[in-house]
Amino acid sequence: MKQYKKWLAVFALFFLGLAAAVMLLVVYVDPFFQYHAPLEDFPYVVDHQVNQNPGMAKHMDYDSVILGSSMTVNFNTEWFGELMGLKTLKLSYSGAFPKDQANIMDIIFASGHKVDAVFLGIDVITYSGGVDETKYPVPEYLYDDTVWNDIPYLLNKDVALQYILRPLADPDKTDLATVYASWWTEEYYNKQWVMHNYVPAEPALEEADPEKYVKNMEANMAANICPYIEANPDTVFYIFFPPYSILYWNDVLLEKQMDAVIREYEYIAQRLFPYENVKVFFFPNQEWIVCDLDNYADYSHYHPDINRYMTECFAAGECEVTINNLGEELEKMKQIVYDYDFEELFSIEY
Amino acid sequence: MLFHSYTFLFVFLPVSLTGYYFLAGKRGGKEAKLWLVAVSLWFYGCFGMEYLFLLLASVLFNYKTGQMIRGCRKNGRNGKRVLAAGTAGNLALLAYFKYMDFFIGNWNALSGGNLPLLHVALPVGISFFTFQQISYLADCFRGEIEDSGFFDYMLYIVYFPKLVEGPLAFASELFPQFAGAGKQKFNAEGLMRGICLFIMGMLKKVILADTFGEAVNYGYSNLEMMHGLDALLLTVFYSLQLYFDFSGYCDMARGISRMFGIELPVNFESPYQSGNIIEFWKRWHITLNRFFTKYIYIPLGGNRNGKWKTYRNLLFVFFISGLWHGAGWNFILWGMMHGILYVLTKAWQGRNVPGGERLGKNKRVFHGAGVKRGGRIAGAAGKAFTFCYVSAAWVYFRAESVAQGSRLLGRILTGGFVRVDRNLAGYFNLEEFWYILKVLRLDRWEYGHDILMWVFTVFALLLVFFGKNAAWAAEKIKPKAWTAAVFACLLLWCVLTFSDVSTFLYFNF
Repeated sequence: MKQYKKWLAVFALFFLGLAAAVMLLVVYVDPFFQYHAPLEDFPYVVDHQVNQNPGMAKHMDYDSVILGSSMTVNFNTEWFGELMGLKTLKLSYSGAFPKDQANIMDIIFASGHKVDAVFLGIDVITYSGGVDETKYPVPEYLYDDTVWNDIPYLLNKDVALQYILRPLADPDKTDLATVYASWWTEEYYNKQWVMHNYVPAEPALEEADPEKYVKNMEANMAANICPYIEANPDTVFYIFFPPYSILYWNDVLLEKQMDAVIREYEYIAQRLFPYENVKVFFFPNQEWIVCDLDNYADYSHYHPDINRYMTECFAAGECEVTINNLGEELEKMKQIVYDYDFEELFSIEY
Repeated sequence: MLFHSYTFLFVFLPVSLTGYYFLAGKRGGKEAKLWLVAVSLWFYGCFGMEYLFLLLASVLFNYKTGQMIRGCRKNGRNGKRVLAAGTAGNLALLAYFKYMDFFIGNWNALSGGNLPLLHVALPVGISFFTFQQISYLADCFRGEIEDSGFFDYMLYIVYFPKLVEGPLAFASELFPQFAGAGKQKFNAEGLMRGICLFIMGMLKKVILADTFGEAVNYGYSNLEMMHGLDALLLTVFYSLQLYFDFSGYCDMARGISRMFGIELPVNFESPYQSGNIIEFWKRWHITLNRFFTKYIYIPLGGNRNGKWKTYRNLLFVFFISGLWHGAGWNFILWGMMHGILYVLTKAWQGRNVPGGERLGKNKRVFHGAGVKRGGRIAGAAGKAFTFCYVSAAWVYFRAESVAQGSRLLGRILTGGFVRVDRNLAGYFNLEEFWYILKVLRLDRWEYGHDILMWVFTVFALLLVFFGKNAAWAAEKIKPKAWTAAVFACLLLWCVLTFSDVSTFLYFNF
């Protein structure tokens, strides 16, 4: 019996020793930045928004953040330094829902950073969903402050191998200025590629009710966006509507949702105007961008040059809308869509 | 709470074991047994408190029904009506939670009606604990078991190692063990062997089954992109996934139970080493098969009323087996595929062949060296055929519909044989092995991307065709320091993989 007891003791000690060694290694390197700022010399790989954003928000050095969906991944944070003197951190979530923004803003504003500016891209369609919906399941243990539930992070093969050993063996440190940038290289940004891959939406039979999405948008703004604006009056919120291509608007027409979508823009902008710490930027009606499909890699994702242009607008105050010119800008948007020659666009085989 | 979860391994299991052995021997083992009931309820409650109440209500209902049946027997009545009512109650519960939408959907299809589906959430393990309770009622009716008291009965049903996925133990197997449970002292050897079996089961689940599983999920989601070889591999992958998933679970369950000093019945006996389908069903999900034999096949008449009625009874059993596994026509088709081959094999074995002498039920002895060699070849061919047939039937088990299953099998024949889909092969490139390929510079080889897929598949096939059972291996392990170190490393490997593994396939049955 003694030999079995000895076996159990060796087994327990060996397992606990090995597990402790792995955990200590993870805590020391901390590839998801949960416990401390990045080590000076470690070639961190940053490529997982859901897992790495919360730690970056907690422990990176910044005074402003970029939030939003894949429409924000091509911003280069150095532009914000160059044009606005800011030290900006990109915390994009591809396909983000409003609740995703709320989750990361909870961490940002509880982190102790003095946040001068938040650049938040709003995709109106995601604001018509549920208030608590997130794009992907959220790993709670990375988003809360408790340490006891961090075991899935500390004892995780992917963390140990992909984020610690692989960077050591094959260093390729992520440049945080361009982190999360889309995979499309220059040659993908052209009309031929976009049209070849474009699949039009299913046509609807009846015109959508213009107020169709307002109730959910109201709930999302009230729960996931406005409380953070109100609680942080010293932070300037640069909230912008990204410029999707004319093909997006073709889908809107096919789905007979023109008035409903325009109403979405109108509702959100009007909800934001009363706040003194909010500046609203409207890019969808930049005709030179949206009507030139060479600016896009698909029906909605634009070239990094457009991100550069938007950054310049934030700095210069261009494309900003106010309560006075919103109606005019929305009208201009509608006119661009109605005047566009879709027939000619679709008459060619791509 | 899954067996392969941090909470189970680091909190639940150590607390359960410590509490059990701390209380063992006190007040005749009663407190230790109560502790086992309590932790089992905690285990099941983690899946949802509403499920827990359902389970408790079901336990209470069946215990009372069992008492009534015994009461009838004591009073000279046979209690048939009480048994019928109790069984109907259990089946009604199962029908409501598991089959309602299937019935409604078929009713709508037949009648052209538009009854709304209920979308009732399926309580975890309901098929297992319901069948086990039906077996208890039937055994009470037959007078095979005596009343061991409410807590022993409750422990028999809720005992956590077997609660959600079996094995389907008979009361006569566990009651005697529960009578002694909590009385015995800590057994270091039992704990060691239990740990070894548990870890081997976990390896099967998290390393083998889930790796095959990810490839299978990808393949089924992208069926149109699968060529002939991809479709063939997918079929084999799912056979392996299902086997390692379920047998891995059973090893874990038996290993855990062994830690508490309680032996659960064997559920798997190297089923893919079977020479024919009859043998297969004596080795795959053994406890379910014997349940069907004892409570359906034999009461229907078994093989006592001539061969045609025997075949009818067998087909009915496989129809029920298909339905038990899932509420869908694809499951019924799967069951019938097994049933038909089973009946054909039975008929083949029953024929009179010159040169062959029947020996017992399924064995045949041949004479002469040439015949011996022929017998070995026939045996290997039988194994290969059984594996292929069972794998083809599993396609319908996995498919979302009969049409999807047929499409996959059709693609094996018509999809054309080109190089394996890159993404499909990519699921086998686990980081820990990929480094080895990199060091050997095999990752640069044209076919380097596919190497691990073939290694995994060949290794798994060798294991299922020629390997010994994990339970056998667990008994043979020597209590040396190096085996302790090896098993500690294997456990750590599993634990590090926890955060990226799926749930068990038999979870929702």
